[in-house]
Amino acid sequence: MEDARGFISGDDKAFGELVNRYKERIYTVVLRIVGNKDDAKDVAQDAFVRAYRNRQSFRAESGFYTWVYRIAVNLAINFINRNKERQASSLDDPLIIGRQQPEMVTPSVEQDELRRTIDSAIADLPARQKAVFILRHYENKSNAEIASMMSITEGAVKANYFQAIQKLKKSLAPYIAEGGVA
Amino acid sequence: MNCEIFRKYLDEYVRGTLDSSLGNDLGEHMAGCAACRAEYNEHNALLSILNSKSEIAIEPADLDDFLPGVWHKIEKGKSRRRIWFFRLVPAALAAVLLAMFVFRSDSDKLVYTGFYDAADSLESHQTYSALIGVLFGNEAGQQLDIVEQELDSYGSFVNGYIDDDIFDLSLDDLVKLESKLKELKNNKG
Repeated sequence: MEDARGFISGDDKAFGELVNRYKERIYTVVLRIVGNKDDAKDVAQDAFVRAYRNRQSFRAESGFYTWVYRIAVNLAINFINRNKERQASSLDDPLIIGRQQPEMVTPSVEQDELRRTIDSAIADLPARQKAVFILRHYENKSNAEIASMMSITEGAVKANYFQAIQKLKKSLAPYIAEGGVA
Repeated sequence: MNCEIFRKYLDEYVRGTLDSSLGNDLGEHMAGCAACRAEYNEHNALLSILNSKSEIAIEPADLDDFLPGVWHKIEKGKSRRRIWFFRLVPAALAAVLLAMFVFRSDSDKLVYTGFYDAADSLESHQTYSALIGVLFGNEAGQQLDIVEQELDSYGSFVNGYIDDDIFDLSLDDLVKLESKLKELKNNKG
């Protein structure tokens, strides 16, 4: 809170502390959305730059992290809207890995293929559906939080999430075929 | 409980975030409905698969130069703003003037503030939202929402909470803004 107050009053050192404190979490959510490490770093940095330039808009009650998180998510959505072609090429070298089994040193071919398929399926989602899905599924945000963050209605959040799930079911149908309740 | 309600709460049920009473209702319905049971299986399998890749691998070195990069961009933006101000302001002012004529009221009386007020606002705030505020500030919030939704489609992030720096708009974007304003006017009728 002290750093946030310092930030509002123009203390660059306080701003630096805030950046170092939250950079990894902001970078992580952006990376999930844009899918590429270099781009994610760029966008995450842009989020902090925006925060710095708009410090007059910051309301300390909402929390610096929440505020920058919102900026970052929206910048990430804008980024993938503008760079649809780069989304496809970034999947050639997936850097988002799955949960490793303790006894395994390297993932099996099948696991690697599954991860690429999942990455591809998520990357193919329209920008807004992708962001809503990632925020809901991987970031555990509520519909209300997502709606506020993206300046859309909760109904739109639910609709986008539903559409994303339907598309992912189609894309991952071969892997879904097994398992479930008898 | 019917299938429509079951589908509505299916995701929360699979995630285990549904309250127990409603969860019991869904479970009972599923026991007697093969179609919903199949949907449950499919949804459960999907979430399991997606959860298998939930972790992000971040190397500490990935973000070593993060803060210096932020400062570099801040400094770069300061010098860029000085250059672009002299290029974009004339185009932006032209857009303001055009929009003011396009959205003239039926009585021919200008709804918005005068041209010089708009220019002053633009120069002093130098933000996209200030421009939109000058154009639509006297209108109901709905008009502003329409503009934001329309303009968001080509990547200009417009949000009442965040001021998008007008210097991030390219000349192409400003031209698009002008034509989009005309289109909105025509749709408004």
